[in-house]
Amino acid sequence: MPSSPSRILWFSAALVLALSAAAPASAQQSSSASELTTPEAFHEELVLKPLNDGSVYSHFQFTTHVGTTIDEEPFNGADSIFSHYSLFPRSVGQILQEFEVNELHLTFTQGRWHYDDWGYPLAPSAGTGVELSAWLKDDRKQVNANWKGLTNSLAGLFCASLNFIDDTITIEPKLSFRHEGLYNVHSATPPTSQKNSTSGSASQKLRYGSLPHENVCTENLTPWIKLLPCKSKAGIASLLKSHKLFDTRFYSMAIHVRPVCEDEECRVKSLELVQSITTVFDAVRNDGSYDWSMSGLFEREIRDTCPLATSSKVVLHLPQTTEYQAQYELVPYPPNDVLSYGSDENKELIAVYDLKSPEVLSPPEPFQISFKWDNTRPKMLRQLIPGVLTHRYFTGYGQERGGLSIEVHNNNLEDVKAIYLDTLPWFLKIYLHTFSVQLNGKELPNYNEIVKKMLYQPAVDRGRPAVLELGLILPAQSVLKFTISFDKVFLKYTEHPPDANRGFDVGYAVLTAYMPRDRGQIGYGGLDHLRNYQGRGADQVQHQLEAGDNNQLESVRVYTETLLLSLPTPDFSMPYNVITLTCTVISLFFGTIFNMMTRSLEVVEQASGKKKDAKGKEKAFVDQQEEQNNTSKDD
Amino acid sequence: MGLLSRLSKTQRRQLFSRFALYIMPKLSYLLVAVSFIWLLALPHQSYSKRTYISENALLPGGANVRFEYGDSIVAETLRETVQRISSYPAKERAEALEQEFTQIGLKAATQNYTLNTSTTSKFGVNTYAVFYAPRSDGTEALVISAPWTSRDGVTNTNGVTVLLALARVFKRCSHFSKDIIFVSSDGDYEGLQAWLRAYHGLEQNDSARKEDPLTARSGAIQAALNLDFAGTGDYNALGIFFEGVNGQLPNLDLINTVADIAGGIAPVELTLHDELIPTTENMTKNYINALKRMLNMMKYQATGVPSGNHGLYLKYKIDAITLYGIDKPGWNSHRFGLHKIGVIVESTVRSLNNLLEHFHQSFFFYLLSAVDRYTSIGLYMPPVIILGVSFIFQALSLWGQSGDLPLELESITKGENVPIGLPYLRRKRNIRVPATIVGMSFVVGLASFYLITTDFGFVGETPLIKLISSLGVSIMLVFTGVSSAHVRHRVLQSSKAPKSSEPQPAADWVVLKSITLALSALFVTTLSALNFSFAVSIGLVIALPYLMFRPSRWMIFNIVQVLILIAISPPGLALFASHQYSLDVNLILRWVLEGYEVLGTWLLPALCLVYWPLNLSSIMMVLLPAF
Repeated sequence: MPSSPSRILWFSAALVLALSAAAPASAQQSSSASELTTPEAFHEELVLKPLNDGSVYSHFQFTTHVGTTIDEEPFNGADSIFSHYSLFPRSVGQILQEFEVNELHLTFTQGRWHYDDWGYPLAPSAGTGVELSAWLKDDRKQVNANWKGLTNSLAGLFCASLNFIDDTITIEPKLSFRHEGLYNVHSATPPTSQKNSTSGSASQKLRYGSLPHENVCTENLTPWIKLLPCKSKAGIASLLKSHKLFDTRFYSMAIHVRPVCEDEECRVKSLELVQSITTVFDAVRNDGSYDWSMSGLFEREIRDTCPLATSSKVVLHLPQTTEYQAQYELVPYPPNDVLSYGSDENKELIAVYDLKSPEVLSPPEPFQISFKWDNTRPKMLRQLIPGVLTHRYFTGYGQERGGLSIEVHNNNLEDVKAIYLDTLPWFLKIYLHTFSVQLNGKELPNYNEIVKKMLYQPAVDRGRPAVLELGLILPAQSVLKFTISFDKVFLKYTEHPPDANRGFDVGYAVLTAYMPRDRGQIGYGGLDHLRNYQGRGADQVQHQLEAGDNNQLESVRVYTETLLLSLPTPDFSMPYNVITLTCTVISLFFGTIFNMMTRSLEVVEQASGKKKDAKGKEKAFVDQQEEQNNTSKDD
Repeated sequence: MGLLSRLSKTQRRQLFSRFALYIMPKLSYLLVAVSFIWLLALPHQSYSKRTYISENALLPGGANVRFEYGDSIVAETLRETVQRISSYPAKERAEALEQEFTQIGLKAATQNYTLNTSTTSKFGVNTYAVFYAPRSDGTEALVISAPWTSRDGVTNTNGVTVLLALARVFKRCSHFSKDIIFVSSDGDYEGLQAWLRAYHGLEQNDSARKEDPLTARSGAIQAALNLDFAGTGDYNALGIFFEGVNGQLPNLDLINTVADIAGGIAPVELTLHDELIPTTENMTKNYINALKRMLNMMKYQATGVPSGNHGLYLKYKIDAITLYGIDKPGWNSHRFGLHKIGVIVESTVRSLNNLLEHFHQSFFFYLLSAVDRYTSIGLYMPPVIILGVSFIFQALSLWGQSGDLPLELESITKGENVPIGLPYLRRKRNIRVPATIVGMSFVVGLASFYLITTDFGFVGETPLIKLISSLGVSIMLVFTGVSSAHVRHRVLQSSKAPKSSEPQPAADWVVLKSITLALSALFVTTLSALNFSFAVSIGLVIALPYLMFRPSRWMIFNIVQVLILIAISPPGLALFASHQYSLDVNLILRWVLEGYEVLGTWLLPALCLVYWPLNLSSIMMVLLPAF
């Protein structure tokens, strides 16, 4: 284990390397690479960042690696690894193994990410609800069965309604949600090596599904915490207090599993499990002050690090003001000074606290950060203009038909490639001929220049959703608007949910934009950036950067709003009324008709008994019946 | 009995239908009387029920409000700001308010709009701000709006102030599940309408309307509150306005929620509209007060023009009401200011925030005779239907009579075998004259509608001139129609062969009246499902004249009848309204026209396209030859 100062040094070097695409790798890298070839490793990290509107962004990331060290051994992802392991959670491992999962992304989100105010999140987070995507091996041609099994097992594991991701929701995107991780990049790029690779994309199938109305709460967090080696007993995870985490403006909890390479040639591969929690605290809400401290945000303290963790860090992004530098007080100041990277307007200042170092955390004393503005918070914080933004909304009113409008803003100075993916439930009858494109408010008669590719999968009633995928070129500094009309379907009354008059949630659309990495919003998209903090994968990033123009772009996923669709809803007291009324009428009829059929009214002879009344007659009839029954029994 | 028993089955049936034919007109008058009495009985206590909260999720007044005394102190300083910026021109004013919202921490923006109608052109700027509820998915939203101009014509200072004060309070809260949108609209109705159109993606950019698209939006709007608190003072009572465009009503639960809160956690005097009527124990006075309130509501409904800005929301399936501060010096009640308004609005928003579903539990069709007393659709619909039935009865009987001949009773009693048909098949009907008259009346109605709504662009063009021109067209129609019918009648009379065995057809007016009545019944009953109050008022106006009037031998009767029919024709009604409200006829017409062009009310189309043609047909019917 290298001493902490050298690590920090290395860290800053890696950052500089990664982000300014400069000198070749230093000699220290090989030593750290060999250190990483241990079969299992666990890293924990907390990133804090004050946002422009006074909120505080926090991102917990726990990375577990389980890997092979032998070059030649074909890497089968989960298959071969889970014979013996200690840090990697067994429950996840077994699920991966059982359902032949190569890559898995599961995100629980509560709240919206406000791109306008907050920029892009440091690590990707999904739209509201639950999003699940997975690459499944197709060797045995049972992807659909495996997907079903996967959703059901994850539903059990995380106490969520993931099992509702059935055929009517599941899609297979053709352009979006490509393989992640350098392993796949590596294995996909040289076409010759594809033959040997058993996990090439040819034999894998992507499945994607989302539940927009799934609420995320403590019951999902608890099983998530259970997957951590130290649970929430020690280390950074001890800050996870659900009471505070769920009192935020945004909460996102994710689990990502993917195969990765540990070195440039991909001789050493491993399976990476990233667990992350992203929240945005409203620090201003309670007392109107922009100052904050870790204990104030989380109401807990870090008393020690997780003994199983290889690294344990707290990283703080310092706010950038345009007016003047550092008008704030940071306690404690990082022992190795503040690191800076990027240049001029894109300059970022970062304070790194290595909790494994005794300077930062000496066990009886808890680790604490407090952040105070000297006077008041300067108003002139550096403006964030997210490069690509998208919004989606319904148009029209009434319960018969409607329209869908999708706005895509490109604030970049150059054209940007993007892929738009929209899943629309089958009860929206979309008319593709009504698809139209407006550029900066003007209708485009021919939109081939903008919509390069258009994939559309029509919906099947009660079978599968409609999928619209657009390969787009967004012109520089433009607003694109797509509109499409639809009819609303009159559902069968049993198909309505219990709160029928609420309407149906139509899940978010995803725009994947390919933007240059150094656009001032560091780290958007891809976990690669965060891996830099851990001192891993920097050379791979470097490799990627050098590979060509295309790779310099980084994909950013922008999520649109979830929409509420109101379909024609019957008055549900009506069936009840009908049933009540029908039953009443039937019972009335039945009574009389049964009476008429079973009672025989006869004129009784005067002589046999003057006082016989109607009751007597009835009795006589019953007696007669009984007699008949008796005789039949005798027979 | 002796006669009846000797008759055959068909003959008996014929006698019965004849009896029905001649009793039906009398029965129809009875039905009109029943309908009138029923309508008058509606406000009575025994025909209305106490309102109740139907949706359990609302829990009005259940939540602790965050709007505290300190906030009302802040609100007072905000009021000074609002007062200052209210004097700016539209654009600067909207931008200053946007700035205020941004400072509170909300996403705010402005929207420009221009509206060109056939009479005027209106320009304005709206301000709106969205409070994004923390951790919510943003699929649902609530709106609190306040127009810059109150219904009194004064600046709605307190209303806009409450928007700002509440935005401040809400920003502190993390318990909202729905986004809250604050809208401060310009102009009368057109501002909010432009905003709502743009919110639903219907913004236009042509010569008639220019509406900017919105830059900040949220999910589906579930309910809206419109605040109208004129001036800067305190108020005696809180009034609720709820009638929307074309008489559409919000869900009764919304009114009940406010009523519950105003009677509970923030006690203020609550009333319908701006009527402050002292309560009495006197039964008669109580009934008259209830009748007044119900008539007031029906008046707002019948015209189709909403009683406040809330009425615009209803078209988009958003339940909304206006809260109005009534300042009546000398009225004996506790006065209230910003603090109580804030508490009432916040508490109502908290209740609405509780809603899991769109409003659907309670009534959408009701008549209110007090804030807490309603009459449901089951009780108020029958009178209109009865009225329609009375029209139909007389129409059927006239139709029967027009095909009937006097019965040869004598020959029947003698036992002779006379072929007897049904009473409506026995002579030929001549429907050419009535059909032409009715058809032409509708053409003239369409022409007058076109005349009134088109902007011809000549100098001195006013709605009155257009009305007069369409009146001219209809007078021409009446003259030509009546004269040619008379000429035709004369010619037929003189050319008729005296020995013709063919029975003479009935007079033209019989069939014409039958058709007019049938169409009136169709019109009134159909309309009653859409706008009850409008249907009732039309039904009441036309019932007796249309049922009773017929050509008479005496000219003086005919003239009186025609004069009455002219009085209830659209121009006559316009004159009556201008006399009643002592306004220029031009203003009345402009108001109706703007209702149609800006809000899309049905008053003008219904009057021009259906009501007036039927009126013209009736006038011509009276002037046709009597036999």
